[in-house]
Amino acid sequence: MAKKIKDHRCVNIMKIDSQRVYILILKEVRRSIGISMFDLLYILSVYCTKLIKFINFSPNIIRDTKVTTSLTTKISILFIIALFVMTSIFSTLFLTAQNGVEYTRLRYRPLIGGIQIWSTIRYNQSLIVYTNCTIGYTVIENSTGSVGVISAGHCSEFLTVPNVDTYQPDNSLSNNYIGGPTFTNRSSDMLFIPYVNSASYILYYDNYTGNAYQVPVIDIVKYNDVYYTTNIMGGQLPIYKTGRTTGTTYGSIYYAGGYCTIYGNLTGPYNVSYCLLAHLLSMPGDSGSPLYFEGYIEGIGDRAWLYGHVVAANWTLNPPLTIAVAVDGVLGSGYTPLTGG
Amino acid sequence: MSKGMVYLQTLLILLLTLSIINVVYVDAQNEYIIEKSFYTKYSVCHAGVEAVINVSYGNATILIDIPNPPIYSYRNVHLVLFDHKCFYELSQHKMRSPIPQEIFKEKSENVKKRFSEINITTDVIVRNVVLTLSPGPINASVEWRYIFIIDLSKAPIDLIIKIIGEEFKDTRATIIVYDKRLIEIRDLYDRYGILKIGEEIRNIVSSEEAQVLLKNIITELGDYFGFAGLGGASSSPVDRGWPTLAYISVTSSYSDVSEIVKRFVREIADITRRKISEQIPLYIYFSEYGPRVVAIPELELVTTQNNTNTMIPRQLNQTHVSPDVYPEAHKIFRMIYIGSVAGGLSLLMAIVFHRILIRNRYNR
Repeated sequence: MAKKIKDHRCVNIMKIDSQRVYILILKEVRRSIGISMFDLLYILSVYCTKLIKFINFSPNIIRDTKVTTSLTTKISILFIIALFVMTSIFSTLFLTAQNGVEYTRLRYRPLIGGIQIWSTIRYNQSLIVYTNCTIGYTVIENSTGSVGVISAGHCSEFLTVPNVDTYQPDNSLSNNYIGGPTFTNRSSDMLFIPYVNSASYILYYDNYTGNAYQVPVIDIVKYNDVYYTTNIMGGQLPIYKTGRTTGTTYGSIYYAGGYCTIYGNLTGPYNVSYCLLAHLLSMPGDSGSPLYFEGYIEGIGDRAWLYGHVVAANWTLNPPLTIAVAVDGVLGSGYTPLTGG
Repeated sequence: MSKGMVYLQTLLILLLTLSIINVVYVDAQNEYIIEKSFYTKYSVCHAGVEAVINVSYGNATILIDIPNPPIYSYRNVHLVLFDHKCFYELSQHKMRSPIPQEIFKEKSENVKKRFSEINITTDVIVRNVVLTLSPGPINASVEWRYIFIIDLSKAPIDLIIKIIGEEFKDTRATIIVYDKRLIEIRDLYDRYGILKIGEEIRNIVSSEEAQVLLKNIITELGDYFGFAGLGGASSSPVDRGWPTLAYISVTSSYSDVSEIVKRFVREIADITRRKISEQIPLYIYFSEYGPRVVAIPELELVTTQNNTNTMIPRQLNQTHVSPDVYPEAHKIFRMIYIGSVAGGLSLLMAIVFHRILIRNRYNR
């Protein structure tokens, strides 16, 4: 009898410990892979617990304490090992293979292209919207000479200060505050946030080396250049994009459209000009991301050629589709992209 | 070794085996797809202005490029199908031309001779085509492509495939057969001025009238709306690109939206023909079951009422990686799902058996 009590106590302690481990692991898994997988793991853990209870309190098995303890312990160990294996697989898969997403969510000063911004948009007393987006690139306002950054206009729902407050990377610290957009434009789906401490660099994550670099923008590629290449030469221009949700992804432009219609969740449909359609992965949060080509010049180093900024996408397709607005849209709104690093 | 231990070890082995079987099963499926490509097959890709028939003949690949038959035409403005997926696949198709030019010449002479025997005239060109291009210090990936130009309106495609295929089947070359009718369209554009057409289309679609049309189409299509654009140029998966008048993508089939789309074609054609002569064919790309393109901020709504905050997440659940876009992840997901379920079931069965054994022992 004494042995039996001792054994049960051991099992209970182990159960509590394993539950703690489960919770810790599941929290981590939930953080890294999302709610659907978390639910599955939760069901599995409940199932495991029920199984242990079934063994412990089954009137037939309980007579053989040794077998019960042995089975319970081993089942628990097996499930813990399985959970560890699953966690390590998912951590490897999603935390290291996300194209450098983690780098896009850090704090950067000066501000550069391809990093996360967080905005609070106040429509009125009863409606506040929070958005996560990505900085496109650094520009200068032609009329005032102000330096700042641009992103997609729908990131602030085309509202400006004082209705919008923007932070980089988020509002966890008060000194992350970078002001708010002073200008928005629907036809080029852009917003401008004046911020002196901005530099003409783009965050680029190299999937081969696993390192992130701040690459200086050397030049811009205008819509007509893309149109000419696509139409006359038949080439599909290779491009990169760096966004806060999918990191640095690679694709090619296959269509240069004069105008296109974008469907906004809150704003409804609106027409934008100088659309570039690319086979490229972008997802919610990547709005505003810079579209660029990154290349190495012998004796100079890595440089980026800027095409525009990402505004819309369909990521469920195979291949995924991304729509960007060429730099011409921003130029036409009275802003000149800064080059030269 | 106790019975319980044996069961557990067996289960562990079973679990691992099931996981491995699942991976092998998924790999075997992929293998099957690759395997299929070794056999002769005909598949047509509607790639806008052109339709590409992709044929594997022995080791050789034959791409037959013909004008895409329009699904609706009005005043020489043609609505043509554009398949996003096969266009991408064809564009990714690496043109293989490992055979020396002398051998190609010899083989192509044989092909021409056989064609002339059945009264088919052929021109052969070796074209230097840009596959990819990067700006700045030009970094172009260029490749030689061997192109037969044949009037395919007068020649049976099956016979052409057979003649070319038999001659080239031992090589790993990609042979392109270009329909003369496509060359004629290109000639028309070149005579008119390809850049001039682009400029004129841009001016037309910038007009208030055209912009209203673009806005209207989204309202009229409603839930069927995927994407719409005016003007521009599309690249080609095979050769040079094409100027386009518009691009419509719907989430359903053509039959669901045919009346709306036809009206759009007529209206945009009427506006266009005021400036560009009807002799110049123009094209509107149309995608069925196409992409629904949306603006992509990551946003959540927060409603503040009577000092209480209600957070309604909107797109946050969509930010996680979709299995569709990461096939490798999808494979591992499946492996773990099936492995875990199988393992769980095996455990349950083993415990039930174990329980029966114990019961039998006590009943004895």
